[in-house]
Amino acid sequence: MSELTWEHLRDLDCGAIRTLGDTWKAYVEQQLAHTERLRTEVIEGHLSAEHFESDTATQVREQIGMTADRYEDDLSDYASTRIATTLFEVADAFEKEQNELKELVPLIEQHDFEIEGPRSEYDVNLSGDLHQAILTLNPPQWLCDMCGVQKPDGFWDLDTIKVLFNGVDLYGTAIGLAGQYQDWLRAVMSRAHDADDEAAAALSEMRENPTELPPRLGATYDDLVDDYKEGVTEEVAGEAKAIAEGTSGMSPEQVNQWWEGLSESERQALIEEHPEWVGPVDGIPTESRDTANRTLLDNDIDRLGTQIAAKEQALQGMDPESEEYEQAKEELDGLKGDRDDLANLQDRITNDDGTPALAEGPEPKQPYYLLGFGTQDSGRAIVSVGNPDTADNVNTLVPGTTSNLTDVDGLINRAETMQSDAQLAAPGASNATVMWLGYDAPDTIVPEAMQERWADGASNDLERFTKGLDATGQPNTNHTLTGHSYGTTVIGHAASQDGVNADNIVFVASPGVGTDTASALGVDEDNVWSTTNSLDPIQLSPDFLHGANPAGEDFGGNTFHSDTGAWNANNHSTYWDDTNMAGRETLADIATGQR
Amino acid sequence: MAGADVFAMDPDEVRKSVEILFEIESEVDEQASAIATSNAETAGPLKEAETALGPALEAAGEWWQGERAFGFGSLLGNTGEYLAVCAEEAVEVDDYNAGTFASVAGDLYPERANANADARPDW
Repeated sequence: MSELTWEHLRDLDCGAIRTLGDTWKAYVEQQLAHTERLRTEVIEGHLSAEHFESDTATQVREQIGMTADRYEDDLSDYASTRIATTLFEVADAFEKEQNELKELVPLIEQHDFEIEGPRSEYDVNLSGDLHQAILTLNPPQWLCDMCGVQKPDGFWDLDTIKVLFNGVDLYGTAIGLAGQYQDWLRAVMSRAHDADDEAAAALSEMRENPTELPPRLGATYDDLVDDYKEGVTEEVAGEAKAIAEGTSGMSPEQVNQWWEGLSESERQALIEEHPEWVGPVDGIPTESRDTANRTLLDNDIDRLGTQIAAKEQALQGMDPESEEYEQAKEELDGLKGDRDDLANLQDRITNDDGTPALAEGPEPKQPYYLLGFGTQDSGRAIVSVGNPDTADNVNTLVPGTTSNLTDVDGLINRAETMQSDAQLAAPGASNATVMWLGYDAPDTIVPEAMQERWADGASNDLERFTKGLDATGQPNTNHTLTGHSYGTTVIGHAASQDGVNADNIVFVASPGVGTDTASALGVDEDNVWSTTNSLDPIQLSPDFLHGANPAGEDFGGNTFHSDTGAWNANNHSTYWDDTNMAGRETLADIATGQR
Repeated sequence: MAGADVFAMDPDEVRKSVEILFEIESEVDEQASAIATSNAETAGPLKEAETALGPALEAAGEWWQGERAFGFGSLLGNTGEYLAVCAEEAVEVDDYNAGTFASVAGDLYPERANANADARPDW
């Protein structure tokens, strides 16, 4: 587990980590020359059938070929994908947070604050000198500027008296700023620890269940080699299963490299025989996930139909007045609800002839891609309008409280609206908009939406999803992460705790994002945007629930205007309506890199 | 070579294969040692900085060297030794062991550990 301090992070030599990654890459190339030599100079050369021909000779050539194959797979899977890629990824992650520290620590020092507390929960407090300066009515210039008072230049003059009467503001302002720096520092360290732990896990898991080596020539070789060959045929399936179950320790980028390293027939076999190991996995390309998920969706609907029929049959034999009947009836209703929800999702994204449906919107119309779904809790659905792997601009919408699978149509409508707006804003670009209900959203405003646990529960999944988009997408794609309501809280937690891959973050109607400063989000503050319309009751959310409102002045970042709907409309949910073209157009400009 | 299933063999060509296998085995070991050293050098400061990465990286380098690269080299050595015997006399794959190599080809490859295998008490 990472015990990195902020001083350690500041002083790490990320260049050395990256150089080691390069060394491993060069090593892989060097080793591949050996396997090439085995094939050309030994198998096809000195040991070819021309010079050595018999059943045994064939067996020996096969043994050398198997040995070379195994080493090439090892070099690809372990030396390159695991070790080198881990080093590159963690070097980038550490360096990004180092750069944040380079900006933040001088600010802390300049303002006479101090970093205190254990490494897991750093505090940024006022120094003794700063306390004394405020108490003796001699506040520093920056604090006077922030409070809008002139710095006193003598004792008991008019300015001093003003400072005295503004004493509470001086303290409050200084503590508020220290709190923002604290949020920022904690976010930096949280992301650094996360990257460190993930890198360590990727390397450690590699050693847990390594693939077998071919047997050595000698006693029982014939039996052993048969076992080995059988193991090889199951190897890809084993890897895919571990990745899908989250026990491989691989990052989405590593998953992508692994996937690209499979043969076309191996990939096809996985999609057809084990769609459950393909559909939900971040790092596998969208087209493959969509195909697998549509199969899974068909299967789940069929399975639920069978379960419903069996349950209905069972009910017929029960006493309608019994407790057992009540329970079975409740289970039946649950199954029917799940089946109807999934059937509804299927109808939305599929044509009558079974082909993927096209979304409403300007030409060229974009197909739906199913990137994930589930009926657990309130349900999950991840649907993209347009292919994020080929798009220039990808905007991912994270919906908020009461979002569920039953109402997925409305959520997809919003993504569709955003996609249309983006296409109108940037007709020459290719765009994709993802509706990411990849988490269990709060069902109620009170108390669930007041709790952080839903956001914390979603954080790692959102991190992996955005990093998966990065792994499968184009190198220069402009990624935007847009949250609505509690979805903004989810984004804030993920961005500050785990880190997300996003060029822009947009908070629509936020109750707070778990931090008091845009600087803590790990995204350039200039690319953080917030909007709340004037009749939206969300602005009444108190800061102690989820932190400061990101649309507030002190949060940092930018704000943009959203129009209200009718006075009697639910103005927390009118942001995608035609009454808010101003807000929609701004969002489209941000998502298409024009703001 | 007088063997039941051997239809043709050029001993010189087989010996050339043996040399290549031994040569690659040796280079692989040497290069694995070098990468493990580089790995440990970078892992050192990371361990001092109390990262989780440092120990994991060091262990990964050692594992690679000791298990995978060594395993590959060792398989080549084993195959090479088997072929060295084949160049001298017929031996079925299942009948082969390191002692056979020592008794038949040990004098030709005295630098190899298995060259003296038949002198070991377990043989």
